[in-house]
Amino acid sequence: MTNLGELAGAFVELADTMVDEFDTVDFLDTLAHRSMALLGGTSAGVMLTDHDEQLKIVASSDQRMHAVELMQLQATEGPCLDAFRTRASVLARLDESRERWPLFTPSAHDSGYQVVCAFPLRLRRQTLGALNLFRAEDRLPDPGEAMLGQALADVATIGLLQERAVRESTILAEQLQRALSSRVAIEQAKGMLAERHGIDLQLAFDTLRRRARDTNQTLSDIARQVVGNRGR
Amino acid sequence: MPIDRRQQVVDALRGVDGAWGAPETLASRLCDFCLERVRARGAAVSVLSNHDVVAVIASSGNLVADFVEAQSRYQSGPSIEAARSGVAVLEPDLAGRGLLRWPRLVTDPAASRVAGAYAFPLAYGAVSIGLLDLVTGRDDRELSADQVALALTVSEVAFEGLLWLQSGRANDDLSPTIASSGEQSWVIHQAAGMVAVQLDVAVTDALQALRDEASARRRTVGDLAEAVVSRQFSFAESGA
Repeated sequence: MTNLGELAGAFVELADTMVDEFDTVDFLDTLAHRSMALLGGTSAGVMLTDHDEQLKIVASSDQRMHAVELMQLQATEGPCLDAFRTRASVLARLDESRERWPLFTPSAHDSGYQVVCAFPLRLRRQTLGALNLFRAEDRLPDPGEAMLGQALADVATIGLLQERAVRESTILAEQLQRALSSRVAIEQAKGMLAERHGIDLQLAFDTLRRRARDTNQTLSDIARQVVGNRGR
Repeated sequence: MPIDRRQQVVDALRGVDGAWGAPETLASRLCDFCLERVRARGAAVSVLSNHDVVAVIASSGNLVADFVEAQSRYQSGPSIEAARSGVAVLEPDLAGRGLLRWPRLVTDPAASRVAGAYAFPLAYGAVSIGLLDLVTGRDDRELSADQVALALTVSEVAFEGLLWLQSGRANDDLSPTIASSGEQSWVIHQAAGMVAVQLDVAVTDALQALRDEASARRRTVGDLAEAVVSRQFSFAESGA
């Protein structure tokens, strides 16, 4: 069912963090998109804890997902929070989760999702956050898919911590702060490009991505330059 | 517990009357807090313009003030990098790894009594308005992960305070912090980017403009941001 070549590609890409221009936000965007493709998700997102031990959204495949992730944080309930607290993966059909998440369930349902999954990003004693994967189709992941979801989360966690080891002086708090601050800069840059060129936010994001690729810089660096030049 | 910590920082940085005070007052409270609670040897707060250190507005003493001043002179060092990049630059081992990164600075007498340097931008995404510098001395241990985490919280709260002060609204309530979960919607950041172009100002000023407009219209910042992003409201048209 899952293409083996695609699977191998995802693992190699997620393990490849030993590079000079590693960018946490880019990396987590990749994790979200690869997971969606491999596990047949409609949307995916990643949350990480910050230095105040609060979960923050670092990646979202689309606006609808972002809205539902925000809703989880506001309601302080939902699959991502459960996966983070229990350090175990969560797989649920929304039709059966009204009692478990009275606030989250109707809101996710209204957004068009039927099945919600969350896989903790954990290694030994540390829990960094969780990977969310939502489906519009009413089908729970089979055991193989569930294992694959957790495996993707695991390899991404190792990648993140490995990156930490690469720069000995940096510690996790600094890395997460960097990721969250980059996410803010990327969203600011999207807004600037959208306004400056009269385009929508998705196109603005594609433009940022293309610039990063064409000039061989990270998405975060390009975003900072755009914000510095006020979208010019 | 962690939320309490943020509240504790807010309480410590605001005066007994709940006001932020003048920028210098806030900055010196910030330094005191970092010495007492983060347990740094030295602390300094600078204001920035165009990514450059403009002035040190408060410091705990010469150790840190001389160190920041030397960085300004060489245009090199952790504070300069943090100011330019908008992300924290932490170097617990200045004489070791730091020597490779900033050779002239580290061999300057001003750096001789500094063991570790920790520079935290007071920033909103890509734009910094100030800088919090912490240093450890020769006999100190390096800052732990918990101490660094506390310093990050302090720098977030200090950013909020400084931004309010820059807009001349010292006694306003602390608005919902950008960092708090209720206000972490990406829409606000996207709107700040759009408003920055509409008004031709920095994103920090755009954020403040959004807040002012929202409070004038008795709407939440998130609501107004949605209207900006969906192009139902523009600062360019309103002449605001």
